[in-house]
Amino acid sequence: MTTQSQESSGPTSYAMYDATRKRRKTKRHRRTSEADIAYLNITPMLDMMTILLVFLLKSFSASSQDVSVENLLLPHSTTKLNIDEALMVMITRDKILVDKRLVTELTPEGLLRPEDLPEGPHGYLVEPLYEILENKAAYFKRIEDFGGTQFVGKIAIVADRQTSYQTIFKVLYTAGRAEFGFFKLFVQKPPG
Amino acid sequence: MTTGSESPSSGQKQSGYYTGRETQNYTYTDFTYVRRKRSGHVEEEEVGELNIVPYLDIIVNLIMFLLVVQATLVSLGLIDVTAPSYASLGPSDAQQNPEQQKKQLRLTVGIAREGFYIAASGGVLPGETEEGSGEITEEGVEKRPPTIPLLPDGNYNFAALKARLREIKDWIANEHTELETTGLYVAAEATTPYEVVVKTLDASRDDTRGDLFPAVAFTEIR
Repeated sequence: MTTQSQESSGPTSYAMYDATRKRRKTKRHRRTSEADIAYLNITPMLDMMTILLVFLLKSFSASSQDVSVENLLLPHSTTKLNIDEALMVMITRDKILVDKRLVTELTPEGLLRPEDLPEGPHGYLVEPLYEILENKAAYFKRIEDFGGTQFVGKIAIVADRQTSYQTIFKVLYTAGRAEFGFFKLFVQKPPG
Repeated sequence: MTTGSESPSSGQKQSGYYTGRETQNYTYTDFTYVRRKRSGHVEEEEVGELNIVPYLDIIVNLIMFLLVVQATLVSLGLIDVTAPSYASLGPSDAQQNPEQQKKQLRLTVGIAREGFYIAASGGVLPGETEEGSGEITEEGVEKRPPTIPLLPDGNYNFAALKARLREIKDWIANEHTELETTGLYVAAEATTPYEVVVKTLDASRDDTRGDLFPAVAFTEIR
């Protein structure tokens, strides 16, 4: 009678009884662990991510001027100043651009072509550049007249590191003649 | 305490809601307690927590994108250069106030193939004399050796330029306070690469002790 009831109700030896208890305990423990993971609190991580995102967006906007143009490698500098909004004149190894639009081409040596210098080879004024900059100055002044941003004559010079001083000087002189007197030389900061 | 489903006094079935009437055995507190206990889990499910996982996905993707873009983006800097002011250098100022004109020290750094030339008009720099070396070229121009010659490897000696400018700055500040420098003029030979000009501007801007000559204007050697 006793044997029959033991067979029907559960384990017949202490070893089997212990094994069953152990298995059930493991199963119960596993279920508890799964429940813990399901309620992982991700709010602090989200806070951290949001702060990181704001920081990245801020630093991204500080250096977001696109100067990727063919044949243009900026010189390295130790300056600590960050870039500023200004009309951009680019001097690559073979051309001059204003707002990424071609103004004139340079000689294979990287010098200005004689036909662009109406005052002769020793003259400073670069005529095609002067015309465009003069139009830009007039445009900015019109904007100012209509209550827009004040025209202060800032111009960004983005030049290749191999550009000759002669070319740079003539471009700066022409910009100055067209009422752009505050030159901002764009350079590459050292990494890090 | 019995549940609110059945009223012990009347024996009628109650709806489970508080009707405003107080029975003999049930108080308002009992009703609210029972109602809260019954519907507690239902309320939690309805209010729940805002699912922030999709938002988190977007944030993570944005951060990844910005990090990658920043790594590939060139970090840009700026050097301020102002156009020379002709008004302050013109003869009218000298006529109006000759004393003031005397005090102006125009400091110029010339970049030549042989090295750097440092010259000043309106004063004699320390370690230099008013007389030159005496060697006159065919064009009738006095020829001087560069103030800072090139390094043996053919590169420009920017460290020596920086040291010399610091010496001049200290000399003005300590011994010649009557002199005033409006800034530094940089001149270079026509073929000088822009990179050398920028490095010269870097060397003349500041050193470990502070500012040197941060205001710079370009000029040309004729």
